[in-house]
Amino acid sequence: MAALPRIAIHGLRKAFASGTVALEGIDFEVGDGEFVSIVGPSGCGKTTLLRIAAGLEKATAGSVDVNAAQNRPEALPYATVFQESSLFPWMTLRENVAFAFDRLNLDSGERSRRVTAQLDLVNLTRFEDAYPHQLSGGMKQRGAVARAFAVDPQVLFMDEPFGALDEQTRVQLAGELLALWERDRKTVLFITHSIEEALALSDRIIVMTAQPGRIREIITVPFARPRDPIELRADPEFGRLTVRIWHLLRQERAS
Amino acid sequence: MTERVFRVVSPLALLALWEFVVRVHLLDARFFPAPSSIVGEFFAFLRSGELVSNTWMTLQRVVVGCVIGGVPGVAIGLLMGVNRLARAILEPIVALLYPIPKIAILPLILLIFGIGESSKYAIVAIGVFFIMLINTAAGVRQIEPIYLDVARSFEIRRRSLYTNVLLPGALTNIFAGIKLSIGIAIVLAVAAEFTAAKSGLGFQIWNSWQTLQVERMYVALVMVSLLGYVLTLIGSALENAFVPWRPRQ
Repeated sequence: MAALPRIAIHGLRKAFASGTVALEGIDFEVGDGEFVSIVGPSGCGKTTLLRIAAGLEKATAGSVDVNAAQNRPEALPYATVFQESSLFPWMTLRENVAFAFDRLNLDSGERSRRVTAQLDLVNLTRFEDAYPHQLSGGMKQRGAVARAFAVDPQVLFMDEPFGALDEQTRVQLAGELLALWERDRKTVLFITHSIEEALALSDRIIVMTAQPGRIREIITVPFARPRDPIELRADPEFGRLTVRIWHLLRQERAS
Repeated sequence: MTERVFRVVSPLALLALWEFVVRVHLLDARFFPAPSSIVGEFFAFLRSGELVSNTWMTLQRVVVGCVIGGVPGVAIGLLMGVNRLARAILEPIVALLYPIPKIAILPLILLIFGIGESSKYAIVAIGVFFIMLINTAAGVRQIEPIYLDVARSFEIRRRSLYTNVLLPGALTNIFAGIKLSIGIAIVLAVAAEFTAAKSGLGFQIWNSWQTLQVERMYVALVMVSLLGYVLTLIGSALENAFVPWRPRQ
């Protein structure tokens, strides 16, 4: 792990105005190039945690540091992929990806080249002039992933990006995400409610409990990279870890 | 296909029924002249040039009033949609002024603007202004929060936020407002012409009543109806051109 972690969260607490405590005593770090997933029951505050890390919400107490370079004129320090369809309905796929460069100083040739390359990487070149309503759920999320990768961030936040998709599509997209990630191994914080998805993608998995949201355990995933998210399922260790995480989540429900 | 046929046939059938009941004297031709005689009067009036000039006057008042009232309505509506302070300041004022029937302030407007064209523009503009303001503000507020999250996440610049996120996000509501405005603008223009003008379709209706030329009145009513229909079609065409992302039925 690099000397300075890319993401460092210490003593994080989040209470809403209603008095509900969403997150309590959250402590973890994510190293450079590490892929870390957060799993937990709905209502454990995992999305709130990600939104705080991504700068979309404020913490009540504690520190959140995302150490990404702010001074690269051709890139954003970090980018977020959201769960729901987040492509602007009034822009074509191509315009959506290009809009992510709004803040960056890129000449139009470079901008266009990067959009083309990124859409090609997610196999959407044929659909670049389509509006989101003309795309399937899987294509929309591929587009959202392309948009996030296009700004070349050092840190990627992903909030259940495949959560709304059917099982086959989500396994397929997880495989594509892995391949994309392998190219330059950006630091990723990934929220999911699928244990299998977390195991297939991550270096470490943060298991959370609910009410208030706390970290129950952090599990290191031992599988070698590059991985095949489908072949991985034949590994006995995959089954053992799946069961172990299930137990952690079940204990939570019993208590 | 059947639907299309009915769309054309149903108004024609109503006209045929009207013609029939007048001819068999079930309906008093003094108040409800047969469509055939209205058509005759229509062409006579068209030839004299009066119909064209009256329609043109009303159209001009509607369009100018819509632009004068609509542009600031959209601009202030956008501001009210995003800015909570602006909303706190303007919302109660709008809520108090909007319910006043616009035609009820015509005497006041005549006092201020005089009997000329500007008073007609003003009354149309006031009616349109409120509709566009309310529709635009509602349009901005119904934009899904996720799109604002995306804009924040990618550090979208402020000007871009207005032109590429808020305005297009509210555009469906803005066009709904434009279609409503066309109707209201015609009502206000025609009503103002009743007493405060010597030209326009409203003047023609009022004048026909005073001279008991019922056919002429109907000709003017038909023109008002056609004017509204054509303007609404233009509004829909503009919507299809400017909102290409909206899935069409």
